[in-house]
Amino acid sequence: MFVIECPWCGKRDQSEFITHGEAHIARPTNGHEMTDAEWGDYVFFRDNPKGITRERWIHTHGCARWFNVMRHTVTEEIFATYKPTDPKPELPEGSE
Amino acid sequence: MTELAFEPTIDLPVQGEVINTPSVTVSALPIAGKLVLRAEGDAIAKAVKKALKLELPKGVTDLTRADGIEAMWMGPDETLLVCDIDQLAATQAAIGKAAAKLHHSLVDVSDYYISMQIQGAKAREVLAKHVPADMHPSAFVDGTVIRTRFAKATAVLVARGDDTFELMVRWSFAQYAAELLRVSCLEYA
Repeated sequence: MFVIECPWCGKRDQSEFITHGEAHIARPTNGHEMTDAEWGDYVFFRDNPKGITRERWIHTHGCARWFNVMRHTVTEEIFATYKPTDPKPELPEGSE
Repeated sequence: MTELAFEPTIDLPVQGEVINTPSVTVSALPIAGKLVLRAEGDAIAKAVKKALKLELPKGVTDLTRADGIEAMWMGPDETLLVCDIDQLAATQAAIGKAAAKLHHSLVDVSDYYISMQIQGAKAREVLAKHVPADMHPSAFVDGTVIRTRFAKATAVLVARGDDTFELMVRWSFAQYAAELLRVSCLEYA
């Protein structure tokens, strides 16, 4: 079990949270010009890194707010949790 | 409020005493008036304070009281207001009036949660069996509220002092939570 720090509620058990995949995917503003392949890429395709990833999480059983988590997919280490409106945190030193 | 031509009857999912052991007792609490207030910023807090002398909670686990109304922090822009069911209409009207010119939503959710009281020396231990949040007295302090999980159900927990706790779960989860509480108390019977 992990302990995740919600930006609003503080440290809580992982079972109070749900993740919904990659963060920082901006909706395209030129939708009318995009091909089906580009739309498909935006809607369905996600990075699957072996390393550091930034994900959207929601504190479902707590404050029910969305936030972002920066974590390592292999070690499961969580480097930062931050509000969606916060700037992207720096990558930890020594990482790619 | 509209006069009803008949007296509505409601089958509450949990009623009366659920279990009574020497060290912990679980019983259903009467239906209370509940409102969810959602609004961002300080303007609403000021308006509510002026109208009801009620200071809205500011952060996680905050619980404030004034004139029979309890305000519980649910999220950064969300407050749960709990009062006597007879006080509900007046409270809703007063806040609605105070916040009329501010962007907000105020919804009656009285039938949303069923409340149960867990009381006794072993109450914290019974809750800790199913709640992932820390139930130690140093972490879950009297007079605070926490929104967390009770087994599979989303729950609101209030610590009321003297080993007394209020557990609010959604109506459809109430029977499940009550039955689970009953089983969890059996070892103390």
